[in-house]
Amino acid sequence: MIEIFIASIANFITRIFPFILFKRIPKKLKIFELYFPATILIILILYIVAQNNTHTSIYIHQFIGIIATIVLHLRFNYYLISIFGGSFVYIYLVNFI
Amino acid sequence: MYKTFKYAFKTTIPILFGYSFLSFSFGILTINLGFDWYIPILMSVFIYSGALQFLLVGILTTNLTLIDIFVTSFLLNIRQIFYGLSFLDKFKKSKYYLIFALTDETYLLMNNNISDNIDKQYYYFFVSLLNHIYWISGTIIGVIFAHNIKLDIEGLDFILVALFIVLLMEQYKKLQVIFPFIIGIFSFVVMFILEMNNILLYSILLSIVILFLYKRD
Repeated sequence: MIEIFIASIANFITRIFPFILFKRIPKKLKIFELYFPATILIILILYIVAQNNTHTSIYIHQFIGIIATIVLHLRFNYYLISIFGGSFVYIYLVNFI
Repeated sequence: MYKTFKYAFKTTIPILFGYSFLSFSFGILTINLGFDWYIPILMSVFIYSGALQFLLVGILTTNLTLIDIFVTSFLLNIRQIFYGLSFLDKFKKSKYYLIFALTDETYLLMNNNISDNIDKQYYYFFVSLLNHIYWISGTIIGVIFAHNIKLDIEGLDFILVALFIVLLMEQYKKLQVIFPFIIGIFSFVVMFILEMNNILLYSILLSIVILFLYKRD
């Protein structure tokens, strides 16, 4: 319970931080604001993928799932199709193959 | 106001499906891991961050101190600091709720082109509230589902990876450069090779330093 409270406070601080600090965007941070999401996203992906190591074939399954997501997104360019399609491929592989 | 609500609802329809399914899987996953029914619901109401909630239920069973949880939560979502930067002078009505509810998807929707005859303050509020409601109700449905039907499905958490892949591709489309991605991969691989205890935390810190040095000039 206390863990949830701590996490919610930490999360809220990240969201309110710039409002406390600035009245408008500092020039130096504008560049940072632009590129940081890309960097953080790739780290999160690598982290989650590396964490899932219950069995060795899971890396292959994740790889196929990710490729499926990318292909679907390139083909249809609609995020729900890409997310659910790619996830379906992965969940199917993990549970039924 | 009704017109603004209708407009906000229309733009959040993709989120309705995305969030419901994500939080639905979150509810199922949490219950399957052995947590009480109210834990995921409280998380969805008060934390309201997909990445953090999925990570939390994964690490809560390990022996972490409260400081570990605080630092990990803060650093995991430190990217959100940069979301607020776009709305410093734009949030006026119910400002603190809007700040609390500023998730990745809400942030993206608010940056969409909004037609001129719409009250932006109400639009911000409705988009935030609707997305939050989708998130909570999906969690509740997941909790009910997991209790009544014993589903033994592995890998529901992959939805998060898929979501991030899509966000990544959208980022690349927008930026058209690869150095932010290279910095991320490099930072992670360094920490992975060094076998750091908290890979996520240290690779994020390293990437912030590199990004800052790289773009300083």
